[in-house]
Amino acid sequence: MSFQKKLSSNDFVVLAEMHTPKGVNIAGLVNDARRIKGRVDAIVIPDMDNGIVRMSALAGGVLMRQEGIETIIHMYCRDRNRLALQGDAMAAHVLGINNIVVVHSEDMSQSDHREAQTVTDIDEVELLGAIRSLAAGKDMEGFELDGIPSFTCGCTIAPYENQKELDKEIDFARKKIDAGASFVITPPVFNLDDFAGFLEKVKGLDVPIIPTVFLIKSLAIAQYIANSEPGAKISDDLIRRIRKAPDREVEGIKIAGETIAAMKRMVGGVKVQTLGWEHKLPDILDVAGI
Amino acid sequence: MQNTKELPTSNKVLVIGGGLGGIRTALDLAEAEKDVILVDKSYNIGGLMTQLDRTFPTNNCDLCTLSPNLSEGGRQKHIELEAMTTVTGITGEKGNFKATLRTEPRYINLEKCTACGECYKQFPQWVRFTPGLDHRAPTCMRYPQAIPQAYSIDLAKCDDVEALVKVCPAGAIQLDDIGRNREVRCGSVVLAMGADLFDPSHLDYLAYATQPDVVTSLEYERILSASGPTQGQLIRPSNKKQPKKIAWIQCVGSRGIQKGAGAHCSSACCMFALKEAIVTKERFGENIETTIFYMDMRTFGKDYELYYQRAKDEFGVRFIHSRPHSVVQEEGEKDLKLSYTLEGNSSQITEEFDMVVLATGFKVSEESRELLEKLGLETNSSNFPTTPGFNAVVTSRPGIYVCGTLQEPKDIPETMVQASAAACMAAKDIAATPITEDEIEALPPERDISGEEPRVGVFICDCGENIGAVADVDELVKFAGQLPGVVVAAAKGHGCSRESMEQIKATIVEEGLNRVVMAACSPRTHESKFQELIRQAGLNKYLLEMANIRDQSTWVHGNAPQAATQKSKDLIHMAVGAAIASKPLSEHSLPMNKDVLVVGGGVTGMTSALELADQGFKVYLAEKTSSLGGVAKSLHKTLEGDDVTALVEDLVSRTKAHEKIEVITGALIVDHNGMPGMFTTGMQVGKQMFYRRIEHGVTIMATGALPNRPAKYLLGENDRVGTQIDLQAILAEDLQKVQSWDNVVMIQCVGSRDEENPNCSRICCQSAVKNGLRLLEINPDARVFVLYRDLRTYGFQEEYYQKAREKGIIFVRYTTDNPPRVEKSGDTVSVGFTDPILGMDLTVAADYLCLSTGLVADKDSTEELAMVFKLQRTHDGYFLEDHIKLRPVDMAMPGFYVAGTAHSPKSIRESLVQARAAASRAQTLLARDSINLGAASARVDGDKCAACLICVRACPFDVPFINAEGYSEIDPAQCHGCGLCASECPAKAIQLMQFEDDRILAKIEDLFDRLEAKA
Repeated sequence: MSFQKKLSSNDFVVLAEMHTPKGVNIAGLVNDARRIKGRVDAIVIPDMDNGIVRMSALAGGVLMRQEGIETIIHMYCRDRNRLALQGDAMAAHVLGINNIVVVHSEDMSQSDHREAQTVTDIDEVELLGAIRSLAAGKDMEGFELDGIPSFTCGCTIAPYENQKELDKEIDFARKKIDAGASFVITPPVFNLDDFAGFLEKVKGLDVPIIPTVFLIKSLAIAQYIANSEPGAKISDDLIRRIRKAPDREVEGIKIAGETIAAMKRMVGGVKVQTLGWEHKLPDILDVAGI
Repeated sequence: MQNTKELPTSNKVLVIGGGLGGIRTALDLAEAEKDVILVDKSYNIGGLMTQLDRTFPTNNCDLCTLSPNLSEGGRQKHIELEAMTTVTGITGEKGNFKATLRTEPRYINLEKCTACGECYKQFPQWVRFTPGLDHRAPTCMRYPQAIPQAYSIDLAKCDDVEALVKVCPAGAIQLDDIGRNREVRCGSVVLAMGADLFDPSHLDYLAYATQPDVVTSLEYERILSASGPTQGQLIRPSNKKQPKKIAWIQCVGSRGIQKGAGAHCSSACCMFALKEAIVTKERFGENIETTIFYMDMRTFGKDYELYYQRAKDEFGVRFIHSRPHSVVQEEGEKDLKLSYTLEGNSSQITEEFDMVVLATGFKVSEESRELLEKLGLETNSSNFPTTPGFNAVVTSRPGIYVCGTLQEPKDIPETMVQASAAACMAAKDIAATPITEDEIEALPPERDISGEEPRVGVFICDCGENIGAVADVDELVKFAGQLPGVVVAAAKGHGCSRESMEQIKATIVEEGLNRVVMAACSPRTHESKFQELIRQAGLNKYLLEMANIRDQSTWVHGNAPQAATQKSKDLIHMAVGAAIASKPLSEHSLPMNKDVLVVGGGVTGMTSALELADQGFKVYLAEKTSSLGGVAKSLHKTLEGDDVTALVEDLVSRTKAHEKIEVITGALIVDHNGMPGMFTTGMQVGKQMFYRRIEHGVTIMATGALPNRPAKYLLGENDRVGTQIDLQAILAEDLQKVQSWDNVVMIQCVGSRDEENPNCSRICCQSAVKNGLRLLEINPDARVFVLYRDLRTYGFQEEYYQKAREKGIIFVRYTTDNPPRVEKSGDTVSVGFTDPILGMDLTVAADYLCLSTGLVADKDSTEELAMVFKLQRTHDGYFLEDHIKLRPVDMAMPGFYVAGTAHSPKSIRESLVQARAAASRAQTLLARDSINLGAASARVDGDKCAACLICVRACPFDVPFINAEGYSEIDPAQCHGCGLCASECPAKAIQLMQFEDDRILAKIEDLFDRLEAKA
């Protein structure tokens, strides 16, 4: 069943995130994708939204299609104006990529090209609107298209520090849903109790919520997130569990797998994020029973 | 052995002094392909350490740890060794020095002397050999493994020249030797002449000159040493009986105590005395009483405090905090009477001892002083050359560097660190001169042995007493001779000596041997040497098998000689079996990645990075926080007054600007694999956790330590209580506040030397003295109390301690059973303590209470990095070096080096020395162009392979794949030789070369041969 069909029939969807290389060595990406083919519903290919220059998501998506794997690519507004964005969306459709998630992007000050110009011609809501318009046969200016693309679109809730910021994000998400997003991807979830409260808050959005499950690779990473992202709500118990583990790598995989398993009862799907350790995805899925 | 090529250029380093420091400097330079002239005034290199019995804190005998270093010294192609040589002057400047050397006559031709010992046997009075207490002669063959391996003649004592010349079977004695003068050119100079020990002869009250049973600590060391004048018997020089009660008197010739003593602390004597007391107890029985009279126990080195506690608690060494008044022996008495007083009690105590050991300190020798003067170097009040605060190996004359005890008194590990740092600096002034192909000794072609019947040669070492005294070597030779396949069996004395090696080589060729068994010591230390030997004899080096009859038999079964002989036979039998099954193997190599990963962007990491980048290496500097600078960012000045803030700013700006350095901040290391020369390390970088992989050849760990903040004495509860770092900030920023203070109290050892953190933090005593002096500069009327346990201002810091006392800082000792009492009292903090001299309890209302909290390891961080990189740590969370004495910068994992406070607490000055040492050690590896992967790789037998994919899945490095012919293939260049696939393969289609089944089985079969025969 396709991602879109599973989503609309409220089946549990499993997405895995895989980055394109900084460079053109695609061996790792393709090998890692082959390892989980058939075990996930789609592979999410981020673009340069985190500010690090790399091969574009469009090419990554095409590689997945060539492997026979369904794919979702990121689109964002910092680097391209409305012409480029619309062009890319139509190109994606032609190349067999019909799933797009419109994401927030890091500020250029966090980029590895700090002197690059920020574009932000339109915002995420306008981009979603533009994509919906394309699917209706017209571009943003209302000119008719020769051949009409179709898309399944999603949006994100950006990481937040406190409840006030979260409320703002939820309001923003509602606008994005109104503009055409049919699912929402959340920031990484490390605390299921806290996430239950989050779910209460976003219930009104009325679209499938897909939380991100993040692979914690080390104690230092857990401590870093706990210190730098208070909104992530990493508990002392979790830190203790990792510290005491005889093999922290294995423990991180177990934690991620267990989180996915628990999510099955709570939401309509997950996105697994391993940031560089995509070769561990099969192990995580094993633990999760997927 | 000696390289006689005379380079006309000044492209080499002159290292003066062939002690431990000089040898390390020379080896580091040579391994980095730089040419060195190493001169030593003595007959052999080795210096002071070769006279020691055992070394702290492991109590190992040091000869066997040192001698591989020395023989390395003899083998190095880049090193020209000039023994019995002094430097009489140096002219010119950095990059182009001209040095004049004077070599004294040895009267022995080094090329001919085989060190057989015949001359010494016949005419011991004329030949220099015995070291230490023996007053007959200074030393030549000072110890059995000496380099150069030759004796020397004391012609002045010889009265029958002809007889002496005749006795030498090699005809090496040449009496027309007149020595020589020569001039050499060099680009830089390293001074490593070491130090002399203080001579206490003129101190009548210590009776050293008059009483034979009063000895210096070095003389005591010689008495304990197995190669010393008493063959390791502990006896009183006066009556040759074992002493029952021994006293050590500390600080003889140090801390400005006696007439002629230097103002400095000699740093190593406390540990030296502890070691001698412990070894005495350990080896000569509990019934010997050992007492140490001390002023402050200065056990500030890595894990040294634990050693001190062990001496006290485990070995029952008695410690008396007192400076003895005198040592006398009354008429007709045999014992020495030592009189002293105790704190808080004015009456004199007299106690009898039968030996007294004076812990004599270091001083600059007269010869060194003269040379320093000739070179025009600035020196301090004790004649040590002065060096800048942040580069302790640089002298006042550009291009001339210094290391070891000549720079400042220190122990062996710190000497080794400084020696490498000096090599790092000296190397910058010259260019590398890689050995060209035709300079490498041409090896004979490898003999094709296929189709030959096995012809095994078994060579059995007696290793001096090590094997020979326990196992019956003659019997072993007889036994080996009758084993199937063995054509030669012979005893070889020290098989690793030059002479024996030549004989073995000749035997291999003459007898047409095609397998060799060395029944000797550990392959860990000697296998490569013997492999090289048989390769020179035309055999593939993997046709060697070693039977470790020393470590595995005679050492562990020293008290059962018969059983040890039998076990040695078994080991030899097994080795012969394995040798017969061995096959010639080829080695694989890969190009070396010359990039460097430095982990940690504090002052240490930046210094290592800059030194390597300046030498042209690409450096990745990974820092986990968002900015460079580390703990030093919160410091202002050092004890000596050097500006830390300026240092940090300078390092940060140079690091960031350097085109060869890539700084990666916010880097969290998550994975790592590979081998030295081809590592890959993965890290998550920055807020977005971008995953990045760095490929590098070596790694330097400079991750630092954390300032300790234990919740003690109201720290964190009261704003009038802070740490030395807090106080330093106030002293720099809020002078008005400081001027308002009447009383300031400092408490030392807070959170150090206790149960939780048993070690000494090393830096807090100097911080207290530094901040106390600064405080009095700002507010001369303030009263400053320092409550301490032992004041550890080692080396030249002692002078600042004396200055602090002169300026009126009040130092009061406390003990752990009566610690200071602290409570809040209105606007001040009340500190109660007992003054041991007055014997009274005092209370001070402190305006500021400063706790000396020191450093603790960043345990979470080192633990995780240790897991990722597979490194070892100490019990308290610091990284563990490979050898605590001789390899204090290298880690056990090859290609890893440690520097700064990640190794142990130390000052910035000391951290920077180690940073440069790490850079030097790294360069020794980076100088290579290829990595030898050895021959241990997995090989697949295609006929047996069922393509079941088990090896493909088992391999942690993803090497095996199923090839076009349908069976598993393993690329030997990528194989790491771990053997996992070989052990997993169900069809036994995979064999790990060097560890093939038939080779292992042959061993086992031969072992059980005897058991079966018995049954």
